[in-house]
Amino acid sequence: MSAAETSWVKQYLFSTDHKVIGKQYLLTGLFMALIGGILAVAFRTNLASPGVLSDSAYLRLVTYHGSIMFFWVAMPVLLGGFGNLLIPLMIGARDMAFPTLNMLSYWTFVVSAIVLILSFFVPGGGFSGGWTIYPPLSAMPDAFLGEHLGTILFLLAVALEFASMLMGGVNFIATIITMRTKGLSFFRLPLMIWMQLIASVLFLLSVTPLIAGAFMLMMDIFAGTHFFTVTAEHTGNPILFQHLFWFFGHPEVYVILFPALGIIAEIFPANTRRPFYSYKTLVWTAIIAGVLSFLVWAHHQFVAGINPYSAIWFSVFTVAISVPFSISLVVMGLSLVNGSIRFTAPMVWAVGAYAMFIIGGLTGLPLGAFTADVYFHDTYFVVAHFHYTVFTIAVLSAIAGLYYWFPKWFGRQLNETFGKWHAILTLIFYNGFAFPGFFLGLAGHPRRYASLGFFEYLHEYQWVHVMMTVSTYLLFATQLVFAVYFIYAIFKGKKVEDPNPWKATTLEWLAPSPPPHLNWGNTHPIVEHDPYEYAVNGELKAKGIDFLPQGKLYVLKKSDAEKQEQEG
Amino acid sequence: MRPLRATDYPGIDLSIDIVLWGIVIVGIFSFIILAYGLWRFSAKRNPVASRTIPPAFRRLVFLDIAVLIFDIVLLAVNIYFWADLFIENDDASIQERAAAENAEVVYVKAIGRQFFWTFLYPGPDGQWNTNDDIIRGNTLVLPANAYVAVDITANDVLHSFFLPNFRIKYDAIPGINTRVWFKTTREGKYEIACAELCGAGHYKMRGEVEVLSQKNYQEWLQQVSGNSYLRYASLTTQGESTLHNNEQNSEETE
Ligand SMILES: [Cu+2]
Ligand SMILES: [Cu+2]
Repeated sequence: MSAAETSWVKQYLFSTDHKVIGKQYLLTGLFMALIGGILAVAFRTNLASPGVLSDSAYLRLVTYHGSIMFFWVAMPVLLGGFGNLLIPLMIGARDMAFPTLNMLSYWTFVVSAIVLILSFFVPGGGFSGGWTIYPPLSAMPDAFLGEHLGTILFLLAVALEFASMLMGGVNFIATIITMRTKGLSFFRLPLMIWMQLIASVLFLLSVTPLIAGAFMLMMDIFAGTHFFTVTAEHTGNPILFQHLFWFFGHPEVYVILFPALGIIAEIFPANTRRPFYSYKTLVWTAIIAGVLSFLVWAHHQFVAGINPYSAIWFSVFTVAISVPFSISLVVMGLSLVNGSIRFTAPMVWAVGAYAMFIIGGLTGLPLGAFTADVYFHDTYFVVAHFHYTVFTIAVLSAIAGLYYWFPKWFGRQLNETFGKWHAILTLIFYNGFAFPGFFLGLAGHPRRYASLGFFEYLHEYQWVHVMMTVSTYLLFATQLVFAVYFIYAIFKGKKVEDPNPWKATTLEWLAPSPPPHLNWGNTHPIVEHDPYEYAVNGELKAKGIDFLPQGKLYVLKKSDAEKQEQEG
Repeated sequence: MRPLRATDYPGIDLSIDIVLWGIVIVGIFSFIILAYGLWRFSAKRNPVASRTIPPAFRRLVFLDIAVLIFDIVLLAVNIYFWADLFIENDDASIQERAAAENAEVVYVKAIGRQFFWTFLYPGPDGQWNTNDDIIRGNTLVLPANAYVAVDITANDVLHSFFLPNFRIKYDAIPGINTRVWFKTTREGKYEIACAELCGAGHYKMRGEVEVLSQKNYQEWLQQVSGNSYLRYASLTTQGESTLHNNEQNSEETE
């Protein structure tokens, strides 16, 4: 297929090429992150100087910030973006298993984003009941100020987003299982691919209860059912929704966490120049944590009317999850040992993300331990904890990956010095807004308060909010500069000369940068080694080369090449 | 950092202390090792990487074992106090505790509503549904040195009954009664916060706990008794039906 035959629309808009779709996801996610960031800046302003926003506007912005960052930034960037851009390249395939479904997945996502933005502007305003959508509040049109339509559109947007991610997930699983190139057995898969696979499976298995819950909630709003609402005549059960929500909600965190860990696991070996310390351990701990993630959902409901005996088991499983995760973090840390660490921009980001994951993981324990959680539940401690995990996932790890794969995807370079300063400033401002939350939580500051002014025991902490808000401004400004630079570099950055600038081993670095349509031209890659053959000995070492690419490119026979051409 | 503790029941604070000290120690240790590793194995100090790692570092897997042991201790402590607070929270268990300390038991019902709390007392005779029942808006008056059993519910949306000074929190859920207990120790005024998003006024939903001396409490009780349900019904139109619902529910569970 020559370029002349392909219209611009087909090539860039309704493309079925996994790389174009991946970039579309990436840029759409970036755009949504901008909106999510602006919302954060706005409601943090209200916390520093209460009264800037109305009470319901404050909650509306908080609600949309959370939902956007989770469903319209973290998922599209880490799965839609990184997944699409990397899976075929890393497994030596020419595209995804279902290219058309892939395109459909992206455009469903776009529609979901449009519906979400619309829901914000309809009469009555957008939904304000928090990203967890708990009924009865979410089911009662008069709970706020008549935002009936906004609520319905909000639920619809979430449903569409899940549909989009489901299409993507099915595609990821099919592609990874069936389209690996010759020689690429499961235990030779790059860790990023393992993480994408586990994440997709978790999403598939966990999402249905929430879709059911959202449907029942819509029925409560529209059709006069009382699944979750209570009146004198009808006794629904509000807690049922929480079960449906968190059965999805907890695995969902791992759906975005695993790809983020995958990014770190790719960047570490390439920049320490030694193999990953224990590849299989990381895979197995991820699988075990994934299984456990289905047994812990009610740890969000310890003080929400669940049976006190079952709470014991939920707490035990939750605390038990710290074991596989501490093992995977230790294994990642051991991968640095005896390395020769090059502090490139992606490496600085990856190390930063790794360090923040330590904080995020440890601070989960006071919440998982149920008696301590009686006090911490729904306080700023929770807010701080999940920002140390989710911000680390959606921002730190994702940007680490952007710096690392940018030359591959766009054929251009990002400035190294810029990247390192970007990382350092981001880490400082991020801790400046997130860390004080632990102290506010310890002081008993409930979350989702538009202001702490009504409570005497909190008065002395107003200055902490001011500090957090200033940090948020600086953090946002830093990312804004990066976003501008990023877009600029896509079009005007310095072209890369070496398609493998990091001297990395995995297959994607064998392809040209950027890879052409169908990735491999008239060659195809065959895998001969484990994914992280760094610090090799023998012949290569004598030649001054310290890495062995995972595979080699073989020129296709002419007949095969024609066949490929037709399929494309 | 925690607000002044107004109870001598140590369970929740102890659980918090253990877990916080644990994660602070593990965290600082991890960060020191990480910083050392990044310095020691930087390309400058270690120009050639090696595929093996020194045995000393392999011992870091003991960090995982430390985490495991810490988890077990943590869970044991938490389960012990959890059972105390939320499993043995029936009338008999609370009375037993109170008798051991020669303390009084006070029964209260707390009903959350956008955006205030309503408290019901059985009144001086200790019997529910009698003429001396008491109803109070937003201020929970209690005697010092007493065990307080609070049955919590809500009659519109979810709320959460949070007493920072007593370290107690539990959601108020329409259609469901939940029970928490806590022990009052010193006299004073303390705040009640709502900890579950309940609408635009969530952050304004402030209540008070007023702990009086035994003598003042008895006086107060006599003063306010006998003004119950009629007044409650006038406070809210929907209130009465939900209130009766709640009572039926609680009778069924008893
Ligand atoms: Cu969870
Ligand atoms: Cu409330």
